[in-house]
Amino acid sequence: MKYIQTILIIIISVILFSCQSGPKVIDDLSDTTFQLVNQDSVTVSFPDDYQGKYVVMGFIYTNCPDICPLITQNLIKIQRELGFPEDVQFLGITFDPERDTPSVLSDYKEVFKLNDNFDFLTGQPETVSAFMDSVRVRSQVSLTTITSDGKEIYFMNHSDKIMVLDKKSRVIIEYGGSMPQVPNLIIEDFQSLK
Amino acid sequence: MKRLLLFTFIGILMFGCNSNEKEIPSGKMELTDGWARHGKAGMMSAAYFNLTNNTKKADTLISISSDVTHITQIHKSYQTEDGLMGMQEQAFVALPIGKTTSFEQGGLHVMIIQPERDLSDGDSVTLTLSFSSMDSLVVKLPVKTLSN
Ligand SMILES: [Cu+2]
Repeated sequence: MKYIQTILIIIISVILFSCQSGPKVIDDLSDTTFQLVNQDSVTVSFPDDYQGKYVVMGFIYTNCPDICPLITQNLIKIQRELGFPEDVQFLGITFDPERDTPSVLSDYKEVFKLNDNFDFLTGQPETVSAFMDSVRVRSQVSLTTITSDGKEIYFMNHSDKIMVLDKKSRVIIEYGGSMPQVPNLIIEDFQSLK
Repeated sequence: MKRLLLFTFIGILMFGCNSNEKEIPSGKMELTDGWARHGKAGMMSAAYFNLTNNTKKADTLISISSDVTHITQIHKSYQTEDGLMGMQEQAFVALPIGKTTSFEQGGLHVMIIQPERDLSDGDSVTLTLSFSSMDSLVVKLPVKTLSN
C-alpha cells in the first residue's frame, strides 16, 4: 500500500513539473510603477516602459570603485555575449540617489563607454527606496572619510544582485551580481528561454 | 662517529642540491600586474596589483599615497554577516617572506578617493607604498578600462 502511495506521489510530481511552462517566477513587478529618471534626465516609468522587453538589471552606487564596477562589467559582458539584442534592456539602478544624480550617472555611463540599450536610473530618494524594497535590495551607510576640504564621504554596505525580468515584468532570474561566473549562468538561462 | 659524518655529508649534499633548484630571491619587494581604474575627476577609482615579498624579511605595508589625490586608502571588500557587500579600511597588510599578496577586484584594493584629474586610457597613476621595514616603493600604473 505504501509502495503504491509513493509511486502515485512520484507520478503527480512529474505531471506537475512538466505542466509548469517557462521559468519559475520569483516576483511579479508588473502591478507597481515607479517614476525614475535616467542619466539624460528623461523620466522612466518602471517597469511599464520596458513591457515587451527583457530587462537585465544590477544595483549600484557610483562612489563604489570595487564591487559595483564588477556588477557593471558583468552586465556589459552579458550584453556583449548576447550580441547586443534589441529586446533586452540593460539597467544599472542606484540606491544612492542623493549623490547619484542624472549628471553623475551620465559621467559613469560615459566612462564605461555604454550604448543606447544600457541606462542608469535614479530618482527621488523616497521613490528609489520604495523601489529597492520591491526588489529586495538593501543598503546602509558603513564607513565615512573626511576629505582635505573637510567634506564627509560615505561608503555603503549593499546587496549584490543582478536580476532578469521577462517581457511581462516578472523577475525570473536572480544571482549575486559581482561574481565572475554570473554572466555565463545568465547567458545559459537566456539560451533556454529562447 | 662515522655515522654522524655520513649524515652530515648527506645533509650538506641535499642542502646544496636544494639551493640550486630554488629560485634565487631578488631581494626586492616586487610589484607586478598593476593597473588603476578609469574614472573622472571627483569620482572614485581603485588600483590593483600583485605584491611579492622577495626580501629576506617579513614586512608590512602600512600606507599608500598617490599623485592624483590627497586621500588614498587600503580597503578590502567583504561580505557582512547579513549578506551585504561592503568595504573595510585596512590599517596594514602583512607581507610574509616569499609570498605574493594580491590586490584584486572584489578583495584588497587601493582606494583612490576623488582623483583631482580624469583617469583615462593611456594615463598613469603613481603610487608610493610605505612599509614598516624597507624603503618605500614608487610605482607607475597604467589606467585601464576594464569591461570583461
Ligand atoms: Cu574601497
